Amino acid sequence: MSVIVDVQELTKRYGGFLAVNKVSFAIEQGEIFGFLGPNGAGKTTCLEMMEGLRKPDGGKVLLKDISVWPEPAKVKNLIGVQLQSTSFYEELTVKEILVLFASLYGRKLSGRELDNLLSMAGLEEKRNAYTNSLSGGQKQRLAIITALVNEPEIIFLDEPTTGLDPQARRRSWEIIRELQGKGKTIILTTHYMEEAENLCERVAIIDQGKIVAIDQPQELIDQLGQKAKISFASSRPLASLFLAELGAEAGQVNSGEGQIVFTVDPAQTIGALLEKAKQEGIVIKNLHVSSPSLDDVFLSLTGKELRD
Amino acid sequence: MTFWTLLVANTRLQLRNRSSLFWHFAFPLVFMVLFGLIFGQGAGMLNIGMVTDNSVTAQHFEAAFAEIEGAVLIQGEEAALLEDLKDGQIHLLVAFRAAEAGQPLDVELFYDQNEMLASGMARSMVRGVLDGITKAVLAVPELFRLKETVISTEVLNFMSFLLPGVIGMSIMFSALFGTAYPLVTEREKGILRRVKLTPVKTSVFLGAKAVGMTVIAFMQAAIIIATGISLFDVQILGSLPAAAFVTLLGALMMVSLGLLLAGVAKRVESVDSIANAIAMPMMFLAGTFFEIDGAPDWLQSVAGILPLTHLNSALRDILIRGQELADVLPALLTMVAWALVFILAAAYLFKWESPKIQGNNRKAA
Repeated sequence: MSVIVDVQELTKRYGGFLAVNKVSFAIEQGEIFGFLGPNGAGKTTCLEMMEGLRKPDGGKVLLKDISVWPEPAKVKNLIGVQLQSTSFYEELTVKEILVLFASLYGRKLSGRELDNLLSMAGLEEKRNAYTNSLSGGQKQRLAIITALVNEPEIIFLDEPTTGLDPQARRRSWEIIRELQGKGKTIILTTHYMEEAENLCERVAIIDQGKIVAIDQPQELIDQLGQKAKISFASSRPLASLFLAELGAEAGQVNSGEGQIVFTVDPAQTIGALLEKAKQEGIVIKNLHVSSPSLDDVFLSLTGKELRD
Repeated sequence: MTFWTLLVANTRLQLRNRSSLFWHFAFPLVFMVLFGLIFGQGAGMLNIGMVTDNSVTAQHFEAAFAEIEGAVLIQGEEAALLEDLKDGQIHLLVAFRAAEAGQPLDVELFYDQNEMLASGMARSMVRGVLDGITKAVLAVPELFRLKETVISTEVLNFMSFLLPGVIGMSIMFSALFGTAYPLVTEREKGILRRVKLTPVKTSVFLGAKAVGMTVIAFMQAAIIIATGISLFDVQILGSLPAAAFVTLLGALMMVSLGLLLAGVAKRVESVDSIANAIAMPMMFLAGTFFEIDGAPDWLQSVAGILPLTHLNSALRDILIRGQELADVLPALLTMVAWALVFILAAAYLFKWESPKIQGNNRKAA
């Protein structure tokens, strides 16, 4: 595998505000790479500088060893882009949109190419439908296949599943995996942990314009060093000292009304917790044990929870 | 190929949108039919008073008017006719004043400003007749030829006067809205940013829009002319290719103004108000429905430089006065000059991204 995307010290300033702060990373060919972060973290700005839409104030972007700046025109045929919240011409049909965008790349789609794109997005039935009759998921999938009309090697997807229901989201993931199967490199942004965990081979967690961690999702989780997360609500708050006696390794986080305890030995911790609670006359409710997820990685790295 | 696909897509967008269909094609026809019903046939015979000096010119004028339908010439004393004018008995008074030998004849027009429409129609009619006489005299001094040329003013009834104005007005409204509205919408929806990511040249992308609007302008002109001929007996005297050339130039000029408007308007909602603020006064000042020679001098000077004024007058001179492209060269050059000014200003102001989107990203970044 070879490096196809090389980003070095990429920086963007808006007035005095550093939107993207010296971000560096590399992506290998055929990877699905995700930017994970809350709204306003700098994901979109970063992506748009890589696509040639937004001029960086510093740093370099190399796509297949071609520098995007100062001449973004050089990479236009190399990349396919689905912009955040794209809408289409309402008075054109799905097929007409694809034909139009292909022609903007100087290409004429053959009947087979068109069929392939439509079937990839599950839009065969909608080929002659006006775009304003499509559902949210269908529109997003149309945006994705519109990014493919020039047969790009690198595909940028900015929040491809935002606002979609879980089923539609999974349908989009299938398309993205299919693209990977064809050797494409995919760079996407998301603020869904589940999406980053399930879809991305590597994830960069970005917060306040900086990459705070970058690795495979499982690696990031493992690096937390925790085997389980125990969450519960108690009739009285538990003292920290008391928690230490439970053998919980990490501290306690108050999340809304409940409490969360991280532990390396869930069985022992739960046993001790229930025992102690009985002794102290504390009622434990909604006891829930789960494996740590990217959410927890994010929480421990940024001190924030991700929300839609 | 890219250009062709874009042209087809743009045309589909225009033709599939009901409101743009209405504005392109139904709106001018509604104008034609309404004006035709109100002023077209027999309704409102124009009475024109005449004080003659018995000069040759005055005699030709009389002879020419005898041929005109829809207007009656009433001869009399100046003082009595002025009273008739005040009473509304006549719509216009033409006074021929004897001139010293070798001096041009003084022709004075009196009219009531409260009777804008009737006096405007009468004035265009009289002016047409006088133009015809001048032209005939200058071109062919033989007197017996004179009448033949003068006959051309026969068709200068109100509908004939109106028709070129309606074409000019329709081109203006369609090209202004039809260029600016889609562009600003595309910008707001982020389609322009998406297009910017493709290798398509700006000139090709915008050129396809300009050509698309020109095609629509041709369709409008054809429909309006056909309606005028079939329903209102308008006689087209000039060459249609020459009129088509003026239509092409006019459409390109108005598309350029539309591009400029797309650069100025930040949001879709402001397209409407800015376009109307430009187009509405221009429609009235540019002599679309009547001559504005009753207006104050400064306003006439303003009207004299407006883009639509030149489009209307070139169309009118060619279509119903039978002039040729060479005769309307000043108007054509003025239109080219306006188009260049608009294009340069548009190139300076045009943005691919809506300020709203940038603002959002700034916040989101």
